[in-house]
Amino acid sequence: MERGLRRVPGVLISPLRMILQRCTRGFPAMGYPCQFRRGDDHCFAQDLIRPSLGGNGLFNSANLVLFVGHSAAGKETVLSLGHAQSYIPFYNSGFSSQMDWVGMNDMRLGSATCKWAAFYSCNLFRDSPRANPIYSSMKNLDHLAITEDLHIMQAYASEMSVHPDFSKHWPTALHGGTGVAANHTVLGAWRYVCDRTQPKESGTSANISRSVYWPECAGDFIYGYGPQTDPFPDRVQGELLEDDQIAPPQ
Amino acid sequence: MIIVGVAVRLITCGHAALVPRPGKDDLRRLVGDQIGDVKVLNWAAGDLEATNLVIYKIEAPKYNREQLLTLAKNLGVTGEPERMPSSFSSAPGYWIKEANPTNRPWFKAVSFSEKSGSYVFAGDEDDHRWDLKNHRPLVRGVPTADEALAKTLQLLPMFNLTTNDLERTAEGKLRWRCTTDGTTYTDKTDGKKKRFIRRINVMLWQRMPGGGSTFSIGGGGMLEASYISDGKLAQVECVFRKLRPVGTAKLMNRNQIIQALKRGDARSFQMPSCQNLTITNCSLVYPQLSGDHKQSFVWPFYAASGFEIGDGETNYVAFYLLPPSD
Repeated sequence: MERGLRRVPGVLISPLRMILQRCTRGFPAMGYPCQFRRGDDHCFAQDLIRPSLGGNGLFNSANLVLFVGHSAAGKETVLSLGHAQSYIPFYNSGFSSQMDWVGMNDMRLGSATCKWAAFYSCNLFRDSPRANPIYSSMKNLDHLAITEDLHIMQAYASEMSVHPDFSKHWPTALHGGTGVAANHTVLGAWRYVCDRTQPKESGTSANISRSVYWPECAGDFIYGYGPQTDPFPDRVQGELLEDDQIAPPQ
Repeated sequence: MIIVGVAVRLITCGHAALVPRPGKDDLRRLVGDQIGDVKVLNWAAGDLEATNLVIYKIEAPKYNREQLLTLAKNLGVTGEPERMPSSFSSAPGYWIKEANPTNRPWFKAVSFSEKSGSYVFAGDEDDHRWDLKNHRPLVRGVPTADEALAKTLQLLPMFNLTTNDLERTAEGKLRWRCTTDGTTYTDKTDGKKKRFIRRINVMLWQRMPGGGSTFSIGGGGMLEASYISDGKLAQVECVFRKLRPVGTAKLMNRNQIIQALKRGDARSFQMPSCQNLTITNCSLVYPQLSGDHKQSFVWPFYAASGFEIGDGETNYVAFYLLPPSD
């Protein structure tokens, strides 16, 4: 491992303390001390939205970031965007009537530090075969949150189940602990997690995990566990690729 | 008569002590969380099969050095077996990792897990082949589903398996499934969204000796083989556990299952609202955990699936119900 790199994953987490606890134990053991961690009422919309909208840049301050919680796909077109988009709701128990919704286009993920962002939540990339797909509209109009600095953004193109074993499988795969190199890339680890944590359902009901990435980043490992390639400059989001994984059905 | 009665009672007690019910953690991993009570339940499934509900004990996996070496040789992996690192999810166990003279983090390996008895082969080639300059895929020669199945059946002897060890459908056909891993992209020439297949995966399930169907969690009770460009074998995982019948559970009839569902006894990996549920299928399944988990018993469950209507949407749902002990 090279010195001077900030190998610090942030864990922004909502309901599942088990995932929080295991991740904040597992990643430091891999050489990735936690840059930040938040839970429930300590998560704020400002942590995710871009600085030009009042964000605090928290999400872009770590190499690898994870969000676990709720997210949803909108059905109605946002006039200023020309299409529907996905949202992450922030709820504060002290202000029960207030819910802050952070839209996909309100986020800008990626910085000199932040290279990989994962969202273990539903429908952020909602796409066919599910009804009311929104992913292609967001991508075609350059409205995904991924920037040229972020190598890979990961989420689900469908509903999903939050499984406590996520926090075992994801770090295990990222640090090369499965014995199968294909599971150890950033893309492979996300597929592995879907395979290990999502219910085995048939046909169009199966949950679909998705990694969205710049083509040259397909072989990325996280720092210290293999090589990675910076995205070429002057990209448009139409050049992004999508890697989907469906949990093997019954 | 009294003596006989006592003896039977003792046997029964001893039997019960040997076959524990699954614990809370077992249940959560095998069949998800307990659901709430179902308000309206319609039954549109056929009659239940009259099959014995057998409980199996899993025999402790034993490492066989010669078998691992033979497997490695057959799959083109060279090297000597050594203890796999304790940080591996399937540890403890042994593996043969082929020496890689470069710093490339891809490697060939075969492994055996003493935790689950699983065998894994991993190839050293990335399936992602992409022309960066022209923005198009370079993948070619990924086998068709039928070709991949034929190749996979040829692998069975390497794992000391025959087709008799594989589950069959009610019609007597081999139970198998095929999935593909693909990448979607926007084709620059016509602006259309397209998908190319990087790898094809074939799945075969372990036959349950007393009937019923294997329900695989993350590859448990399953042999899965994957093929990439030029038909190359990329990965195999075989998690066939050795099973020994040690007890039985009580059969449930349709009314008992309906009552149990209404009481909220069932479990699911989903969180359905359960206001208006229609069951379209009900069968007997035996869940097995992935090769990363030690499992001591395989218990029977009734698997009920169907759809629920809530908030104007119709959703597919699946529930699992543990029958009472015999």
